[in-house]
Amino acid sequence: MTHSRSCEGYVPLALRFLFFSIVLLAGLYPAAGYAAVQGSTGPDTTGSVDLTYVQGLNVRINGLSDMPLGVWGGSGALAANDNICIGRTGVPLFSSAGTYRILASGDGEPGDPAAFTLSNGPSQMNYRAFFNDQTGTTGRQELTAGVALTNQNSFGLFYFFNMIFTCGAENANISIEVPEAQLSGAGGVYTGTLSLMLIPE
Amino acid sequence: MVKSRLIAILALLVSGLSGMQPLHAAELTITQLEDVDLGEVAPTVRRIQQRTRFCVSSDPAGPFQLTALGSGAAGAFVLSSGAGAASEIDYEVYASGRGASRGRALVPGVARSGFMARPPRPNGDCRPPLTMMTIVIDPSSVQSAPGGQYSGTLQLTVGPE
Repeated sequence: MTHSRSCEGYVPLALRFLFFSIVLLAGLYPAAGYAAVQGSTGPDTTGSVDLTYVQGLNVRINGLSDMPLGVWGGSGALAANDNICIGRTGVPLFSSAGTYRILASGDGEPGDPAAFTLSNGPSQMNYRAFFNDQTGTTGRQELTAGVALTNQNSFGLFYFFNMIFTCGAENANISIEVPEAQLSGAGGVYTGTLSLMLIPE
Repeated sequence: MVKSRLIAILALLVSGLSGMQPLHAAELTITQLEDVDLGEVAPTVRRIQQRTRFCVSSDPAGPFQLTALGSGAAGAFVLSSGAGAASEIDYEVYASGRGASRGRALVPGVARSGFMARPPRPNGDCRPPLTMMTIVIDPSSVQSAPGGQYSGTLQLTVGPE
């Protein structure tokens, strides 16, 4: 949760998450015309009704934790990562046919309201954020603040578990890194919030 | 002469009898059917259901049996988005009414008995409709279904018991 620079005392850094998920209804469709057929009178009689249903898509992001970056020891970058759960409806259980996009935003800075920044009040530092559509950091992709990372994917069964059981199967990873160049010369307690928006494709 | 008269009388009797309806044959009517809109729903863990009432009258009043057929293969209760089997959503149908206060699950093509029809009124009025049908979509049916508009037709046949 804290990091220190040599000679400048302890500098706690923390990053909190805000989570967003989007319920995307698959468009607003015009109501079907009423077509119920009434039965005529007889020894037996038959009528029929039409049934209509519009299936939307749900997504769910869960299992996120605050990411303490610790106390900086005076050299190297600081990094943290967290395995998370992505749920999505509309994908067969044994298929990877449903993709999603992730949009990340930081606390911002002048000229870039979504920039990935940590602040101690008077001063800021920038950090890098990464997303991986599987657990761990191998194969992760760097996020651009305010720009959706598209075509992320997982397995239908994992999506299903994460819709039903909140975080039944970790299937993604979010990671951050504060470069050494940002840490050098900084002092104090730095915190920031990273917001993630999950959108079904 | 007598023989020919007897033959003529018998012929009249036979033709008359063949034109008669059995006295107990009920005349059934199913009316006030309305289409069912299950709405625009993003799937959750809760089941989706919609109820509708309709009227079955019988002259004379009496019991009837109800048979339902969906628009899926072999009359299955499915809603389809028209893009193949992968985009079908199963639903269940329950019926209740006089004589069957607890909802009874209907099976495609299988007659369910024990319902009571009301007698017809002179003006054809059948309000309030006493037979209720509930359409239910279980959450497990929609979690994997692609987004889009789904539709289907449900055919209801009532006959005497």
